[in-house]
Amino acid sequence: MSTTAIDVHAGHHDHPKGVLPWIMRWVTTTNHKDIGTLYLIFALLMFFIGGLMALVIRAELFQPGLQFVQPEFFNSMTTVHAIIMIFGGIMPAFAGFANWMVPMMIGAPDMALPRLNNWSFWLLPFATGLLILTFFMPGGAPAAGWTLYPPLSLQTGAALPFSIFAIHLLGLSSIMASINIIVTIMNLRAPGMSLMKMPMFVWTWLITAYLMLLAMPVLAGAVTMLLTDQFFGTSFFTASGGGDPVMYQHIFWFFGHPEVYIIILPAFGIVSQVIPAFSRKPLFGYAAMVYATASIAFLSLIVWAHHMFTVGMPLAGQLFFMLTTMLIAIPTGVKVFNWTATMWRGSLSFETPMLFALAFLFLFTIGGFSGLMLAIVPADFQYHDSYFVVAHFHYVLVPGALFGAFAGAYYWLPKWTGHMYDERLGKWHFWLSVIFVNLTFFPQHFLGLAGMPRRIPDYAVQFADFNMISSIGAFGFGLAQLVFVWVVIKAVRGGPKAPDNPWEGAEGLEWTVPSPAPHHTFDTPPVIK
Amino acid sequence: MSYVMAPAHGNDERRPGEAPGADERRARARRNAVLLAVLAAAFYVGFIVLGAVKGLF
Repeated sequence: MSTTAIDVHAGHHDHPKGVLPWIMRWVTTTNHKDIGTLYLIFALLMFFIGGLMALVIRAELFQPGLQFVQPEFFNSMTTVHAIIMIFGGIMPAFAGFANWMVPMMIGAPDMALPRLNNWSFWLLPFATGLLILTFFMPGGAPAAGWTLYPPLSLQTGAALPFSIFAIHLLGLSSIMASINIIVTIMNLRAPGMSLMKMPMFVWTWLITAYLMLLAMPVLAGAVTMLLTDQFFGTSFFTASGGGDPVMYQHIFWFFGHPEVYIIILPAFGIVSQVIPAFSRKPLFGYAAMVYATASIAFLSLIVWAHHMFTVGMPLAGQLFFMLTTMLIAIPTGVKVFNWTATMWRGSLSFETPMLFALAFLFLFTIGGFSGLMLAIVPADFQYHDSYFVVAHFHYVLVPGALFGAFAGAYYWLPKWTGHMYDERLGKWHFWLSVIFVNLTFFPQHFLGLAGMPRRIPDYAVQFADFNMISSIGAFGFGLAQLVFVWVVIKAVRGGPKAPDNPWEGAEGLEWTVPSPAPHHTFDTPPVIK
Repeated sequence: MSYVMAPAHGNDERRPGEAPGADERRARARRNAVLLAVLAAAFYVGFIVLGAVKGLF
C-alpha cells in the first residue's frame, strides 16, 4: 500500500505568519477539512448559546410562579433556542462531519465546489448573529415558537423581517451545502467505488442532502409569504383577507417533518460506522440499511400533517397520516435490528464512541416509541402541545442526534487532531451526559401525560416536583458538556500520537491516511476493488 | 470493502474506456449543481404559487 500520493501537500497552508493572514486563511479557505473544522467549532459555539437559552427556560421552570424572566422573554427563549439548536447547532455539526469525512471516505480530493463550500459556511455566522441581535430590537426577539405560525408570528415587533431574513440565509446555506454534497458524492467517487460500496455515513448524507434540497426551499417559501403578508398587503395566511392560516401549517410541516430526518439521518450514518468498528464485524445487512434509509426519507415527505391532527382534518386524512407515520417504524426497526445484529457475537469493546452509539440506540428508540404514541390520532388529541411532545422530540434530538454527533466526534477526533483523546475524561463525559439527559427529559413524559402544556413560564403546583428534577438534570447536562470541550482542547493541544487507524475494527479510506489527516488527501484517487 | 492506495493510472491521465478525468468530473459536477439549484428554486417558487393559487379559489 503506497501513501505517497496523499501527503505531498501536508501542512501546506497550515501556519501563516501574523494575525491578519491567519484570519484570512480561515475566511478564504476552500479546503474541505478547514471548512469542516469551521462548521464544527461554529456548531459547538451555537450549542452553548442555545444551551444557555435552555438553561434560562429550565431555571424559570425550576419552581412554579415567575422567577427570573417575563413571559414574553420566556417565549423568545423557547423560540430562538429551537432555531439556534436546529439551524445553528445540529445541522452545521453534521455539515462539519460531512465536510471532513465525505471526501476522505469516497477518495475525493475535496468537495466538488470548494468556493461554494466556503460561502455555505460563512453565511451561517451572519445569519445566526442577525437572529441573536433581534433580542435587542423593539418588541424583542421572535416569540411565536420556531414554527412561526401566523397570525401569532405576525405580532412580532421589528424583529420579524430580520428573523425571516436570517432564516432565508440559513436555508440558502443549507441548500448550497446539500447541492455540494450531492454532486461531490455523485461525481468525485474514487474509481471502483460504486454506490453500494459507499460507507453508510456517505449514504445517509447523500439521502439527507436530497431531503434538504426538497425541504429547505419550502420553508423559504413559507416565510417569504409571511413577509409579504406583513409588509406587502398579501393575504396568504390572513383570514380577514381571504387567506388561510392552516395552509401555513401544512406548508411549514411539509418542510418541518423532513427536517427531523435531515437532523437524524447523519447520526444514523455515524452510528452505522461506529458500531461495526467496535464490534469488529461488518455492518449487518448493508443493503437493507441503505434501502431503509431511503424509505425513511421518502416516508418523511408524506407524513407532515401528523403535527396538525388537532387542527382538524377529514377522517381519511387522519387515517392516511396516522398510518404512513406508523409505517416509518418499519424501516427504522430494520435499522435498529441491524445495529443490534451487527453487535451479535461481535468482539465488542466499549470505548467512548461505542458508548455514545449504544446510548443512541437505546434512547433514540425511546423517542421513536413516543413518536408512535403521538401518531395515534385519538391519543394525540391528549398529548398535543403538552410536555409529552417536548420529551419525545428531545429524546430524538439530544440522545439521538447529539449523541450520534458525540459518537462521531470521539471516533474521528484522532484523525482530525492526530492525538488520542483522553479516554477517562471521555467516559466521564458519557456517563454524566447519559445520566443527566434522562434526568432532564424522562420526567417530561409524566408532566405531559398529567397535562402540563408546553411553552409556558408558569404552571400548576402539581407539576412542581418533576419540573424541579428536570431543571436539575438540565444544569447537570449543561455542565457535563464542559468536559467534552476540555477533551477536545486536550486532544488538539497534545496527547498520545494517534496511528493512522487507532481503532482495531475500523474500516474505510479515511483510516488509510496519516493522523492528523494531511491538508490535501487523495489528489490522485485510490482504486477501490 | 477492499481498496488499495496506489494511484489509479499515473497522474490522473485518462485512458480510453476508463473513468472520466478529474476536470471532466468537476465540470459534470458543476452542471449537476446548476440543475439541482434550479430544482430548489422551482420548489421555492412552486410553493409560493401554490399559496397564491389556493388564495384565488
